[in-house]
Amino acid sequence: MTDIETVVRDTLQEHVLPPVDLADLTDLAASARREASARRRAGRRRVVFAVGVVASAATLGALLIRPWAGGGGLAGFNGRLPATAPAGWQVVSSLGVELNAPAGWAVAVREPCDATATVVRGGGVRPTSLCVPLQPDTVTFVRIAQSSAVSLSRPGGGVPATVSSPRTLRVGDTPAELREGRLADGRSYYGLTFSSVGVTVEAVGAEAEVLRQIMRTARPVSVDDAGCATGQPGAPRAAAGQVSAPVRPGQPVSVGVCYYEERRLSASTTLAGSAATDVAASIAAAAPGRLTNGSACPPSLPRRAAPQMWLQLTYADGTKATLQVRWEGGCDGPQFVASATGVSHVTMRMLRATLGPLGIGYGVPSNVLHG
Amino acid sequence: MDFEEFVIARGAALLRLATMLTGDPHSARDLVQSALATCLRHWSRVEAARYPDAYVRQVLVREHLTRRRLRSSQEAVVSDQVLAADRTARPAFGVGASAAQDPGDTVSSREAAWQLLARLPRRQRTVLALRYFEDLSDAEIATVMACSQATVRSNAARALATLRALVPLLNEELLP
Repeated sequence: MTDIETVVRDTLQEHVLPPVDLADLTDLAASARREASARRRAGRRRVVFAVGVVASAATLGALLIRPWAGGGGLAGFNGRLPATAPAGWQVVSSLGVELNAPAGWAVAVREPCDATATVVRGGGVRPTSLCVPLQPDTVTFVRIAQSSAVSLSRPGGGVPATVSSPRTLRVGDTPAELREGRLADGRSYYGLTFSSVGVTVEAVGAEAEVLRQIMRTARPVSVDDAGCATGQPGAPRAAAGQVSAPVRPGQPVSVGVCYYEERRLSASTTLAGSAATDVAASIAAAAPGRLTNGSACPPSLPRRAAPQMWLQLTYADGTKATLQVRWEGGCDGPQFVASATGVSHVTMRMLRATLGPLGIGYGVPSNVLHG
Repeated sequence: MDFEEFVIARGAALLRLATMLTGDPHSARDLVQSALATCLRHWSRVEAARYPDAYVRQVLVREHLTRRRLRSSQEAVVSDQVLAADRTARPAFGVGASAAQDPGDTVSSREAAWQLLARLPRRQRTVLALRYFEDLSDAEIATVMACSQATVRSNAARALATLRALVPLLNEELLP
């Protein structure tokens, strides 16, 4: 073995690696399972998309590919509007803006120190806190926030930054403004503002190319990848009337979960397989009727518009049904789940099966906990 | 052995190899996660394989060689200009001093060598990691990387030549 080969061997074999414990490995297995699941979903969507494209081409004789109407020639931000996330990526939607993020990234909404943003978290996140300012400086994150809550001097509410003047471009038909910059700790910053919907997508991290890949996919939508409308839909008839029949959801093959706050879509996801079955089973097992009201709002807290959750059930024969999980007020817990023909109690099992996969965290009032 | 049991038993070794391939523990975790997700789709094949470790390692290496270059800005072929610049900057790596220094200099030299390895082209670095970290033969490396043994040898030769040119004093310092 030559001298340089010995150096290489010693360097590789004696390089000090970070310790790995059982919790890391368990988390690694769970992350791999999530990524595999996301790839399967993306594969199914690609097949459906391809079939649709072929059918449309055969019928119409031509495909209309809509060019980007944007100006400015900004390299990288070409305004394309991807239909779904490719393998290894997930679709994240909030406030009427959708983007693709790495499949392994956790998604957290309604962080406790900023109720106006979705945070898509990346590597190195401190799990004890969802608050951006409390995360270590090495964190990569993307968040979809109300523009009114965005501070250009401290992107994400954290480290000071130097940010460029905005450059105008178009994403599809929607005008947008792009800002680039650098945080004081050296991380890159991108901010894309859709003034028409009052939403800004912010991305911060050391890997600028990853951030750019994410930002290139940001697009305003009226209905997102999970089938959730950006604006809160109206209530089904049964929710307003006095119906004593329980909700019987049957056996859906997929369930779209749409969670609204302040009447805007806050978070969404699509559940399939056993996750969809769990949702249906939890609803079928619930007692009919409404829960009694939970605790009233303390006088010091403003009574906000109640959150709402909609469940879009799709069955094997292609039929669909819609259920609503209904809150009565901003300080009360969810009271009941309603279909067009029935009303049932909300239960802990139901919340775990629906709010759990959203990853947004939730409080449980005593009337649900003991209901 | 089910999937979770395999990850708990072999995950640390996969993370070590991935760190050798990528040069960075965060990228290594992403790579291992991605390779495990690929294997999970056909886990029955992994369980049925004579050497499940080798099967997953092969998936890991091929995933590394073919995955999209998300971190391309951190990878660069070591060019003549870089070589020249690094030669002038040699003392900063701690390799330009005499051999009679304290052990801390050896550590910094290893760190310098680690940094140089991380800057090799992906295939060359992969060959070195499999040969000198995993102790695989050239035939085994060729199988894992899906290439010929001649390609393995030429990649290794180029990588070693680059390192030898870049750190002419490093080996003198590290060797007794």
